[in-house]
Amino acid sequence: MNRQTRRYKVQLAVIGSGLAGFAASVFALERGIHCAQVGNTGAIAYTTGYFDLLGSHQHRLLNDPWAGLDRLLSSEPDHPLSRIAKAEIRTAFDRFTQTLTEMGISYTRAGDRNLFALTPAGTLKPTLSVPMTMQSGIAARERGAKVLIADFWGLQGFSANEFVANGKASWPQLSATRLAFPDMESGAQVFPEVMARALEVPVNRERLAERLSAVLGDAESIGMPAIMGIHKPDHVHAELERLVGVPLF
Amino acid sequence: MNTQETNGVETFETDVLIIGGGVTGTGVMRDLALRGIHCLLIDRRDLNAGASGGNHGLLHSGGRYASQDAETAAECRQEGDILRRIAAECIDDCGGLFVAVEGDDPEFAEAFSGHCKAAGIQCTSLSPMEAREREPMLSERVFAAYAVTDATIDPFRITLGNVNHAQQLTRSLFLPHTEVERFEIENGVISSAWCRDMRTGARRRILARQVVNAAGAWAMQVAQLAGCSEVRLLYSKGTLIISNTRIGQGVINHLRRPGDGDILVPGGTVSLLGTTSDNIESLDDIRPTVAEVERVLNEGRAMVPCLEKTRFIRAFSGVRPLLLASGSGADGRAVSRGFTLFDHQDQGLENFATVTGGKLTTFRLMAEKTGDLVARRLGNTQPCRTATESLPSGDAIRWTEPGFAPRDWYKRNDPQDMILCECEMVPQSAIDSIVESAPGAEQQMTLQAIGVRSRVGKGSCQGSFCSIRVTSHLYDRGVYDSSQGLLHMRDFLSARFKGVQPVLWGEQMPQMELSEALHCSLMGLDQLESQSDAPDGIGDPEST
Repeated sequence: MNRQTRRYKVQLAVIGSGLAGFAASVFALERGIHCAQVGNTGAIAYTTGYFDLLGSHQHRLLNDPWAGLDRLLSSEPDHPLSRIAKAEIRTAFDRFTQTLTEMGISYTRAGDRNLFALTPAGTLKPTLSVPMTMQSGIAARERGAKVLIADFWGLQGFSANEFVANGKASWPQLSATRLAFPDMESGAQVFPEVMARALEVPVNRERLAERLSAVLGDAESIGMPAIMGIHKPDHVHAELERLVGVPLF
Repeated sequence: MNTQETNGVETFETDVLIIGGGVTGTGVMRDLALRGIHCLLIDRRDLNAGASGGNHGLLHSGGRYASQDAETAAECRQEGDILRRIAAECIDDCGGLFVAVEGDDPEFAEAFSGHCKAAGIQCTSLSPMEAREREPMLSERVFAAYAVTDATIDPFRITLGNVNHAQQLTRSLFLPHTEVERFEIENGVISSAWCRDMRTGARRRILARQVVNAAGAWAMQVAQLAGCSEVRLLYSKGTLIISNTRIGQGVINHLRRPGDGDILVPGGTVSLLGTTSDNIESLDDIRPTVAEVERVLNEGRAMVPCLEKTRFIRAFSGVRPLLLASGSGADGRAVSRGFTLFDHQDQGLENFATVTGGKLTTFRLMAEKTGDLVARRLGNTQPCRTATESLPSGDAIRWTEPGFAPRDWYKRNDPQDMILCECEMVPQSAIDSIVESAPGAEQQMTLQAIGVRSRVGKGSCQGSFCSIRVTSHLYDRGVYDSSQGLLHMRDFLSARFKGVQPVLWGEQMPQMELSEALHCSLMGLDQLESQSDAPDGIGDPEST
C-alpha cells in the first residue's frame, strides 16, 4: 500500500478521541482555535452514552449531585471535581450537550437532580444527562407504564429477559420479546454497529417497524438495544417512533 | 439414597459421607463407588476450591524430591505411571528439565542424576546448548541440565471425572456449598452430620455409616468438630502467577534446593510460575499479594529471563496442609511420609477417618488407602480398582481442557451456536452442557461454578466480556429470573479481581480499566447492592 504523508497545519493538536479529547476540541473550536484531533475509538464504544456528574458518595446514591459536590469537597478535597466551581461545571455540561444536540444527537439538559437511567441489564444508574432517545424509557419507568423490551436473535450482550428479570421488582408491567432483525434472520451472530447502520436506510426502518408493531399488543412503549442509527440517531429514532406509533427507547 | 424432609430439615442417607471436594475427596468417592459403595460428597464451596485448584497442575516425575526424599520421589514416579494409563486425557506428557544457572550450587547439580537413579527416576543429562534447543528462552547462564519425565495434569478434569464416574456407578451425589456445623456422636459412632447450605442458610442432616474427612487445609477444623485433636496442621501458603501465553514446551525446574519461583509449568495455552511458601495462621481471606508476586518473578527470571517482560494475567494462592506430627492410629508401613491417614480409633471413634497432607501427584494413592480402610469397616471385600480402571470422559466434563471448546465448536459447524467467551472460544453449547449435566448441576449453576467447569474467564480479558455474555445467556435459558444473576456475576468478577489486582501493570492495566468501564459504568454492578437493599428490588434509590 502506498502511504502518503499528510500534513495539517493547525493551532492545536488534541491527542485522544475519548470524551475528554472530544470536549477539548469542542471548546477550542468555540473559541475559534483551529484544531485537529487524533486517536482511535477505544473504550468509548462500551459506555452508556450517559453523562454523569456524581452518582454516589461514600456508597450512597445521590439524588442531588450538586449537593453531593459539597460533601465530596469536604471528604476528598483533592478530587478533580473538588477543584472546579459548580457554575463552571454546569456551563461546560450545557455547552457540550448543546453541541451534540446541534450535531443531531440530542441530549437532555443537565438539571438539579440526577436522573435514574436504565442500563442494558435492567438496573438503574444515577446520571445527569442522557440522549433524548432514552428519555421516554426513564419516564415510562417512573410512571410504571406497560412496556415491552425487545432483543434480537443473534445479538449478544443484551438480553430482554435479563432486563425484565432485574427490572420487574419495581416495574411489574415489563415484558420481553425476541425479534429477528430484517435480513438477519438466520439466527447467526449479528452485530449492533451493522444493525444501527442498516436502520439509517428507510426501507429497513419500515420492515423493523412492521415487526415491532406486530408484537406491540397493548404496550405503551418499546425498549430496544442501542441500534437506532449511527450517523443520525435523532432522525432514525423519530422515524421509527412515527412508524410504530408509540415512544421507543 | 433416601432423602426426606422433616421440620424443614432435609435429611440425606448414604453409606459414606466425604467432606472436601478436592482431588483427594473426589478420589475417595470414585474409589468407593468402584467397590459398589454409595457416597455423598460435600464441600463448603465447590469442587477444587482449595489447594486442588490452587497449584501448578504438575505431575511430578519425582525429580523434585530425589535429592531429599527418595520414598516420596519413588511414589511420584509410580503414581505418575498409573495416572498416565488411567487418565491420559487429563495429562499433557510434555516432559521437563532441571536446570542450574550460574550462582547455583554445582555440587547439588552434579549429584542430581545419582539421586534420580536411586529412586528409579529416568534422567538424561543435557548440555546447556541441548537444553536451550529444547527451551529457547532458557537463560544463557545455564551450566547444567537434565531431562526428566515431568508432565502436567488438569486437576479440574480429574475432579470432575471422579465425581461424574461415582455418580454413574452408584448414583453417588455431590452437594456444593454445604458445610458441616457439628457431628452427633453416640457410643463412639458419628450418627449424623448437621450441615448448612452456605448460600440459602438451610439446614441439612446427613446420616452416614462412615465419615471421611478429606477437607485438605480445613481437615484440622473438621477433625476438631468430631473431638479429634491429633490432626495438627501447619498452613503453608503458596502463590503462583499465570502468563498470557505458554512460555515453554515442557516443565522447567530450577535445579537447587526448593525455593520461591523455581518451577515454570505450561498449562495448555498459558504457563504457571511458582511458588512461594509462607506459613500462615488463618485460612480466612487467602489472596496473593504484590510482594509475593515480585518474589516469584525475581527468582523465576534467573532461569527464564523473558519472564521480566511477560504479560501476566492473574495470580492465585493455595494452602498446603503440612502435618506437624504423624498420627498415632494410622498404618505407618502402608502410608508414606507424604500423607497421613488417621483412623481415629484411639479417639474412640469407629466410623471416622481423616486423610491429609500429600500431593496432587499422589491423590490416587491417598484415596486408595482411605478406600481400603472405609471398605473394610463397612465389611466390603472388593479390592481397589483405581490403578487399572480408566477414568471415563463425558460430554459435560471436558471443557476445562484448553483448546477443546474451539475444536468442538468448529466440528459442530452450527452458525447459531455463538461464542460467548472469545479468549478461550467457549460457545453456548458448552455452557448448555455444563448447566445441564456437569457435576453439581443439580444445584443452581452460577457463573463461578461454570468457570470451575470450563475455560470461561481464564483468558486475557479475565471475564470482562464473557461474564456479561454468559450471564445474559443464563437469563435467556431461564436459570435466573431475578437480580441474582447480576449478583453472581459481580461475585465472579470480584473473585477474578482478587487474582488480577497483584499483577496490574503494563498491558493488563488498560484491560482492567476497560473492565471497570463495562461492569461499573455500563452495567452499574457497583451500585447493585444499594439498589437490591431496597425491599422492592431496584426501587427508588435512597434519598439524600
